[in-house]
Amino acid sequence: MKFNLKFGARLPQALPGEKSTLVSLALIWALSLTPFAASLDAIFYDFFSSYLPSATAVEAKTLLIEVDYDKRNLYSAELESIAHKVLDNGAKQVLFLFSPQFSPAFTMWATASHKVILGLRAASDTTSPNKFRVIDNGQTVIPAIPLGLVLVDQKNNGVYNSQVTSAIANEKQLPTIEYLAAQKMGRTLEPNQTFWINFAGGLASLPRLTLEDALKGNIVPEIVAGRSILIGLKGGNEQIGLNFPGGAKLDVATSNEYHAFALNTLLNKQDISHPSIWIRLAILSIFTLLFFTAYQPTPLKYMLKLSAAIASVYGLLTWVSLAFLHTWLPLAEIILLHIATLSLVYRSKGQIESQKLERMLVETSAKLNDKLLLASFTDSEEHWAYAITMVEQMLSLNRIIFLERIPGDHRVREIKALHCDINDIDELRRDYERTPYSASLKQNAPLETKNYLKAISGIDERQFMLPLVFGGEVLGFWAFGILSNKLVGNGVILSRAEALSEQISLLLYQRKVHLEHIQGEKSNWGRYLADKQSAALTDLRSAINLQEKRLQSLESLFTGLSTAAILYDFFGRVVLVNTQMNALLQSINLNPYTMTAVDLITALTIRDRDSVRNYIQLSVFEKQHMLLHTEIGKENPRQYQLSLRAIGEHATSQQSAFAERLYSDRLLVELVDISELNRIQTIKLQLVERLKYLYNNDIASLSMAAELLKNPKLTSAHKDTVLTTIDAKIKSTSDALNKTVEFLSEDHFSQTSERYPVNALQSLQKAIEDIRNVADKRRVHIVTSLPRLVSFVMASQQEIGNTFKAILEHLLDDTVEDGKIIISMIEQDHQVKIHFENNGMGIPQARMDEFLFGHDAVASKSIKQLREALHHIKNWDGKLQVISQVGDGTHFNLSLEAVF
Amino acid sequence: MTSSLFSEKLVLVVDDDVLLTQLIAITLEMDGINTIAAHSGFEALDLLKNTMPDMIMLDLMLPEMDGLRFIELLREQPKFDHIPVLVLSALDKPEIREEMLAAGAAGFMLKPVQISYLLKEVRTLLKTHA
Repeated sequence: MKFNLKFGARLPQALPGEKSTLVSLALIWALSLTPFAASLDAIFYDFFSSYLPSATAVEAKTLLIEVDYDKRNLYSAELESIAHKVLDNGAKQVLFLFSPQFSPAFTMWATASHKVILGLRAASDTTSPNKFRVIDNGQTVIPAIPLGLVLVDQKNNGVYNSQVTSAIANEKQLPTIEYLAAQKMGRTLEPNQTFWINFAGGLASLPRLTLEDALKGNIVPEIVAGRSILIGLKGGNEQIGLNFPGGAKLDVATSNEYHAFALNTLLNKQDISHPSIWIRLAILSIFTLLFFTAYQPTPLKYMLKLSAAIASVYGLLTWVSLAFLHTWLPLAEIILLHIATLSLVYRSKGQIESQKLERMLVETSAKLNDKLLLASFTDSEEHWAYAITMVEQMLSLNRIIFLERIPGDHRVREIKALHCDINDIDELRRDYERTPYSASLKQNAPLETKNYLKAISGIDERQFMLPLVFGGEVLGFWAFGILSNKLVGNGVILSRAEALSEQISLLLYQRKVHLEHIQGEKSNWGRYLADKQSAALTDLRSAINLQEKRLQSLESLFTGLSTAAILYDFFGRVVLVNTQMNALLQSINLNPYTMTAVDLITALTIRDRDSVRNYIQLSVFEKQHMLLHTEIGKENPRQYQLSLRAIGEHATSQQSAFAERLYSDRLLVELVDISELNRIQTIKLQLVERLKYLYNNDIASLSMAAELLKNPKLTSAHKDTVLTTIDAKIKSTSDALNKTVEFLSEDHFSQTSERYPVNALQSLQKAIEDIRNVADKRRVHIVTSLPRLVSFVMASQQEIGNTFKAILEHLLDDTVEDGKIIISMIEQDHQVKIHFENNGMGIPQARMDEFLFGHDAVASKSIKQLREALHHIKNWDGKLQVISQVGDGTHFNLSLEAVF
Repeated sequence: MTSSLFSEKLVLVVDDDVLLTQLIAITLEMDGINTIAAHSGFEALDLLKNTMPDMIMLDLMLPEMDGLRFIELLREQPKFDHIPVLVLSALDKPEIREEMLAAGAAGFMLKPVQISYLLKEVRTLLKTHA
């Protein structure tokens, strides 16, 4: 039999319940030898014999004639006559179940015939249940006729279902009348044997003849031939009914009928046999083996059902054996054995399961703890050094001292110091129930102390104390000094110290619990007394708590990720949505909770559902990381990369590829904003394109110069010019190349950078387009004179766009209806010059100057934007001239340095 | 300098790159073609007030006004209708080429250009518009 024990469990040395089942077998076999087992079997026999089919009724070899008790002496002559007649008609023998007063002639005849048996009625002796007292006197009268005891065996649980072959009556061992009669017919049984009477067929199957019919001469061979005729008394004490099994409802029989069935059982050799003790042992052993092998592979939850099936089988076997083989299987013992085996195997299996569970708990908690605990901290004796290093790395403190609580005491002791000596503590009590420790515990935050540490002359230091507490348990304290100038305006240090304190407390607590656990494992007494399962459960619970905390941290991390992310389960339902994704989806009126993964990706990427399904399939089943480009937002569209990947456990090497797929039970959808990357990429491409143009220009000169040099007609004067050109072009090309390398290799293009080569023409065109709708509505005409190409200028792409927009919006606000805004751009003297003017109201120049260059707060949004623009233009080394006259409108002349 | 079919011809070279202008002038003059130079669109328009060249060789990217704007202004004056304009540019964009031709340019050459091809194109344009 094979057991599939996981988690490294050892295979059991013996099968579950093996030994105890063998012991049970021995005990139950011994029990079967006791009257208790026989009594139980009798109960079952009664039940089963009630349901024996009539087809198995034995041949009726007896016939009963009953005589009224009161007339027993009146009919002596008639009884003699009946005896003659039945024997003459072929009866095998005549049994008188009492001792009538026979004539001497009959007595002589009966004695000579050897076919008449007289019964000596016996009653139970009150002194002993196994002894009888003869109540008839036939023994003394006609000793020549065989005498048999007429008695009823003790009832079993109220039912008379057995008879004995002999009994002690009047201190003598005498055969019962049934056995005596059977002996005469050739049956031999043990002298003191009890046999079960076969009642198959019930009372109706017993042939009878009334005394009246017998006296009328109705005795014919068809009725009596071959049968043993029992003549008994009825009425009087004989009328007392005996219960015997004959149906679901117990039938009541007379003692005569009881004897008739008993004799019939013996004559038909149909007495129910009982297996000998060794056969019984064999039967019980076979059933033990059956039960044991049947229950071993059966899961616990199916054992009761199997048990019912097995009980039905051996119940049926017992019935068949009784009905057709007239053999009684030791059913009570089998049932007891069954119950015992079932209980023992069940219990043993339960214990094994429990051990497996315990081992699993221990191993799981150990695995979790291995992952969750910082081994370097928990296992090291230098854990305080780790703590102090952690603080030193995080905070710039002047000196630090850690104090540890003495286990089981309310005192603390100094443990570790940094940049000072542990003797620097100017406090001697070290009692954490007193100040400053108690105050620090109460505050549970940095508590400023005065001279807790010895003052250092010439150093302006402030001192603080923090408790190390976890779950209400005081683990220690730490005190630190910080230079006053570092603390001023930097209160964040104290909040960080508090956060560090919490972290160190947690680590100290974990270490303490871990060490206590290990100590318990090492101690013999600890191992003996420990409730391992409870300890394992506690460990597991603790590990799970820590795991939950980490999961919460991860969830917080997920929620706070700057990348918009949403996690779906295997069924495409939302598991987690982070804040960024929520905000993004809200901005485009999508509700992730009412959409499946397919719905959302379809909406975001504007792809058909079949394609999206295909992407998801590739991601989930083929483990491919899918990347799709998309644009989100109408007014200010941004470019995103939609990342699609399955996440989840990896199946173990023993698991199938299908399991591997199923384990990928989460689908992570992320939207990475690549607008900035795209912007930088675009700028770089524009720059490269511009440089290509410049290089081609220079190369054109160089190429032409080279060709000219080959021309023999070239005059020396021209030759000098050509060579000068070559030198100049080589230099300018080299300069441009160096500049290019510089710009492309360094981070000049981030949004925080303010100066890099940008295409001002493109930014201006975009700004014009942005205001065109508003201008059209206000019937303001925008007239432009812009070149197709212009050199790049040094600026920031974002801010130059804002600058143009601020200028245009100001002009638009100022322009009269049907007026114009004229915009032109030229490149001159290494400057890109942009001119803006309008037909507007204008404002006095002085006021404009005050607005733009003054320090007073202004309410106008466009003026604020212009002020901001001026700040940027200054950073770009550019110039902005603003001319405004009332009635003449406003002119802006912007000059920016041209590069490339 | 050798006398040739084109010795009476005058080409106006408009390019802000002074060195390149000199090289083009040397090249054309070695082929017997006379040249004058201007380094911006406005300077070229000034020259045209007193001089009637047989051809204009024009750079696309010029300060103050670009080549396209120059052609537009040139074509606004009917007296300059007959002067072929050969655009010489380092900007390799089909749409720009189309724009220039549509505005009235007679030819478009991409820098760098071999002298032989340049001369061939110049001669062709001078012959065609003679």
